[in-house]
Amino acid sequence: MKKLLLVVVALFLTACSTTKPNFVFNDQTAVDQNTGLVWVRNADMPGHQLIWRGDDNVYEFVKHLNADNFAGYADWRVPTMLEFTTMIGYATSLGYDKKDMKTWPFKRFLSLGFTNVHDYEYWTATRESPTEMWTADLISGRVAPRPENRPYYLWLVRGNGGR
Amino acid sequence: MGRRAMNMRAGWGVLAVVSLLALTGCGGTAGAVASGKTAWDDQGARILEKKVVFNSIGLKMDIEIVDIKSSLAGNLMRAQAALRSRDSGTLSFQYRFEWYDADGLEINSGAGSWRPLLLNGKEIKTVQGVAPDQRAKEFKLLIRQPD
Repeated sequence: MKKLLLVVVALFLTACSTTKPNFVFNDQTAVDQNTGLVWVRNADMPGHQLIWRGDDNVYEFVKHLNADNFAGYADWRVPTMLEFTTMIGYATSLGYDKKDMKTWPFKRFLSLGFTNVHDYEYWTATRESPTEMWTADLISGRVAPRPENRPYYLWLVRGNGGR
Repeated sequence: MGRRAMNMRAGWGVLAVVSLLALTGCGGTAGAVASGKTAWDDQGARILEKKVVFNSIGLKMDIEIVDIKSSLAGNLMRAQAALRSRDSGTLSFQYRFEWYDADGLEINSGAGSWRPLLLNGKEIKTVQGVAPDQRAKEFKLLIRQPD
């Protein structure tokens, strides 16, 4: 089942790699014209990595952000594994060479117009097991299950993007 | 009946009495303990894992713990329990809160004093406590009958 899922993700990545990024940037948000999803322009709203379970975690941060009606919306959420895979597909569609940092996803996102994108892993909302969540690595572009008990960065999205 | 048989019967009797004492009196402080432990569900939302243990049959017949809640007062854990009397008369109890950190270590060990609680016939009352500091992730409400 896991292998099948990985194959699906790989196929998805390949499919996405032909789709070029098409964002409309606003002051605080970026609208993905391909999917309709709205991403927060600042790829590190909390200003530091967050944990999944515990005080001051991802859930609490999203709750407070929605209570504050950030950028006029109250439905911000953690992107799913597929949504993040699509995002990384945009970055890799511009070319990727593991020996050239300028081509790494986090650099691509920065050059597209996003801010505070880190060369590290980001949370997705997709759970793999009771102790693992899927995360997105913005160095290698790999989206894979990782231990849940570690802190990762948080990049928020809203809308359903038709997926 | 032989002396050996009588000795065996007496031995079983002593064992029974000791077992009964152990069951009724040695299962911790005679009373009840309602505990709530902070945990997080799969979405990361804060939840409370609740547990109620009665160590006294008499108390269990007198009182029922109908609800246990917890919330945050700023950064401090606040606990609340609703207690209902099963009796038609007025009953007297004592209670106190104990607080524990994420590792299960007691905070300000032994600092909480016993407080009186009067329950009229079939009455429901709530008792509340606030953690001494923000390390608290678990509480125990201890209830006992006065001496």
